[in-house]
Amino acid sequence: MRCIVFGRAARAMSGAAGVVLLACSEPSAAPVAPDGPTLDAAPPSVAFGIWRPGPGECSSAIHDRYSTIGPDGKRYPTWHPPVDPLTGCSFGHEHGRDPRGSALYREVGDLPFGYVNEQLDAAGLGLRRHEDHVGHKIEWENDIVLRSGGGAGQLLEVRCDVMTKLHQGTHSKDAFTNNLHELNYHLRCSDRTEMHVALLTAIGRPGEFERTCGGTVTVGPATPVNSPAGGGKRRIPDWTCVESKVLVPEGRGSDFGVLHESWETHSEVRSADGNRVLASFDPYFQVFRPSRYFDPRQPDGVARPAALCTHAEHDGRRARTKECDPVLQAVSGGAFTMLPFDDPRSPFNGARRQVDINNNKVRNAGGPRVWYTDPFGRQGRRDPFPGSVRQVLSAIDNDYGVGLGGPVIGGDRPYGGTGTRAPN
Amino acid sequence: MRPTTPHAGRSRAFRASPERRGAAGATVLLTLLLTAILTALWPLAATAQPTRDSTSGGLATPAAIRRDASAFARRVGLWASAGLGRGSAGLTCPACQETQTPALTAQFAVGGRVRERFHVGVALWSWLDVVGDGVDRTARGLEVIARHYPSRDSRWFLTGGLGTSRFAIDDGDARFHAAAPALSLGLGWDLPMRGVVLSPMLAITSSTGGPLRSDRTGNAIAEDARLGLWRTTLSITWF
Repeated sequence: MRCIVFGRAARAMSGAAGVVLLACSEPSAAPVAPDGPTLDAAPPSVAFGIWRPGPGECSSAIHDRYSTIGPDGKRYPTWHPPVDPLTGCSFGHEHGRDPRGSALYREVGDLPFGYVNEQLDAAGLGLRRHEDHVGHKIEWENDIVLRSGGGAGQLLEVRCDVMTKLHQGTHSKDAFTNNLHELNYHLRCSDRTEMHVALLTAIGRPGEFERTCGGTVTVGPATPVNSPAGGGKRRIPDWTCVESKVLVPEGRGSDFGVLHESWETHSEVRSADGNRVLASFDPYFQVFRPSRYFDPRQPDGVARPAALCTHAEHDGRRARTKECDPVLQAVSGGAFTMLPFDDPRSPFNGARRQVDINNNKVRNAGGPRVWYTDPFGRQGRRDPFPGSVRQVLSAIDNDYGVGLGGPVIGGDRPYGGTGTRAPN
Repeated sequence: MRPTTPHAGRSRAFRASPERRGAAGATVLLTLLLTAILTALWPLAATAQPTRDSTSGGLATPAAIRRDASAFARRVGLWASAGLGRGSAGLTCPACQETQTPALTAQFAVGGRVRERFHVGVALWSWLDVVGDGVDRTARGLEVIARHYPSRDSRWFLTGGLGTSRFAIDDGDARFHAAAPALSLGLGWDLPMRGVVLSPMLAITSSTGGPLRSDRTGNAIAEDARLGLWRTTLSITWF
């Protein structure tokens, strides 16, 4: 197994070179610095080079400098700041928190966005799933505290460093039907729990989602059509929620809190031998003020929350909230006009997020630290196979008979305000 | 390979909150007060069990009382003791919170004198703390003990024990325990009284590191949990 490599742009920003991740020959192998020719010589992955700039934004060439090399030797996009520090131009999107501050970064390195999607192509499962660029969102926190829910939680705690990356696009029709999303999950705790996992997590059932305000909405076929179902739910607002909570008569205030997505994931790493669960984890990924909600009357079902600020029903119900103030621009004569949904000044840009850390279980006592699974985290074996993804798990069993719940991370870190706009 | 011990050094020493410290101080004061009262009553008690003294017409004198104490110490044979008191205990480990609470402690021991100034025996001690929210913390230990009097007439003694300890946390749902070898050291004072001896004692106990395991699954949430315990006990010993 070779190591993943950091991109040139990352080196340029930090003045230091690094490398790493899910792919070193030893679980904690030291980073290896790549050089420019190495990146240029690497074959591009499907995910590389797919982003296109809007007017006035950084060029694709600048964007593509933020790349890394995956365990398969291909070149992948990776995290970059929303504004390029070398040129000052904006990318118009963000990928969450700068991973270089994570205590896990030296081991994990830059995350190759789309690596697991790429492995699905090679896995021979008859499935193909690639995701857009802007949906990759990183969140991490050092030294979080996990506790049991009972009184013993006053006395015992487990401290962890955690880093996650989920592809969580909240601007397009994709997640209305598609339940497979790339997830990287890295965790190291004081009780020796450790996992470095990358997989396509199946969030709920394909072809449908859960309405934020209750109920299931069936939309249509997923991509791929034979996507497996998984645990968890994708909670997404739709017109029903908007009609009941946002569009209100005079004298009432709109509840824009319903414009909130919660992707409640449950992921597992399983062995091929007996389909045994080697590890599981349940982080919940929440996005406040996404740039979409589902409206079956719209093309592709995509409607824009920003448009609600000027929308009025026949009976006079409309959005009544200060949330719309940034969206409405005053023009002469006291009339208002609305900002386009993708204007950087709109708060509906999906840049406010948080992650709940829950139920990190490892049942790998006596097992190897390194497993190779298919892109869904299944069929875990000791040796790599076509389309396999390397997973690292500590050789312990951390089931204590009680669940350990963690904190919410990232809720106090809005990532907007730097030219970031929908689609983000 | 990169070191993977990011939490090294996070073990927490016991540190009681101001309220807890106040309660602990009250415990010590209470024990000292009891000791003082018993000390004051001791001559009366000694009088109630007449001590022959030709120089004082049959009344107990301090010299006579000291002779009685000496007589106790010179006795040879088995003894048994039981005591109650207050103590504070906690675990130090990467998973352990800073919680040290004064709570009830008890000790039972049996043994014998092997020499005039040297006793040996076996002691069973326990400590129970009801934290609240349905959480109990318990500590108990079984030790081989030795007691040494610095001089033939000394009422002060040093004591030590070596054995096993077990610390448990139980909230009805989560149950964890740590068991490990433990060492106790203590200091006490004998007050002979009506055929028994009252002994106020202060002891500290520390265990070697051991895993803190879930009772339900046997899995360790921490590998190096160390018990720390101090206790004040007022014991009655029968010879």
